[in-house]
Amino acid sequence: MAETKYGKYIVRGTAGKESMPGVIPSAFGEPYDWAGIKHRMKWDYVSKPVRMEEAHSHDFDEFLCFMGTNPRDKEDFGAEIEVAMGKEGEKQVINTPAVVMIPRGMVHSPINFKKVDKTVIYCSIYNAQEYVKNPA
Amino acid sequence: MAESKYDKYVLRGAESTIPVFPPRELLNIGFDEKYMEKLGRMDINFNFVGILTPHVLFDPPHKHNCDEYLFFIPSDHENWPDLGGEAEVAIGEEWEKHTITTAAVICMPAGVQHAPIFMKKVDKPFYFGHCLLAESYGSSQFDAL
Repeated sequence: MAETKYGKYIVRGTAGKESMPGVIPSAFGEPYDWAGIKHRMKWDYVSKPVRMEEAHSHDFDEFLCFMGTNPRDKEDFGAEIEVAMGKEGEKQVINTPAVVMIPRGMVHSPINFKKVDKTVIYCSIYNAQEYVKNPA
Repeated sequence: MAESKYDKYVLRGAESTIPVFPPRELLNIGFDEKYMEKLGRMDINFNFVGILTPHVLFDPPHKHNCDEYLFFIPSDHENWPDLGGEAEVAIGEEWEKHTITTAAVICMPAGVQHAPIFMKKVDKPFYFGHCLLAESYGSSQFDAL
């Protein structure tokens, strides 16, 4: 492709492989300093029950987004996910499309995909260049 | 349900108020200023919209005074990274056209003009969305033309 002025702003997916059984991550290899933009996102396709992460916090806000894989019908969401929140590990059950906001400093996780009848998309949006975790 | 400390952070069926036009598009989830009433003001605004049929998105060429991501998410991973369709994104004042046929994230630094965005082909519905670092979409946008 011919040299373009704005092509540097686009990252395209590359072949990905399972990061754990039943979990295919989006694979981009984003540059650390990408035109100075500081927020980031990544997503996984989760097709089997799996438990992700241990309790931790961040120095940045994070948004956990859960969607089904049928863009024609948002009610078509075939999973049940428990998100542990706070030091208490209060469990929030997600069984519809949802956004979970994690303010900076708030302990959260594990994220337990307890039941996955149909693949779901789990996307994390976070306001930082690097996904640095602080232990709970 | 018993009183919960963190329930306020869980936005079930979260939607944003940015207009979409069924059946060409279907909003899935989003986050905008309406949730800030209970969560506090934040400089972030995003949504995920299902793209169902070919069409040109509503937005005319414009810029923001903050950084923004545009993303294209295949609806499943069976043929990853194939998008399931083809989009054409105009970037810059030259309307330099970029074709997207795979999962992709486009970063638009503040002040860089973008759109129109043409969803040219939809073999299988996919998700498109934006994430920008402003309290609301409108407050950060200024027309380029």
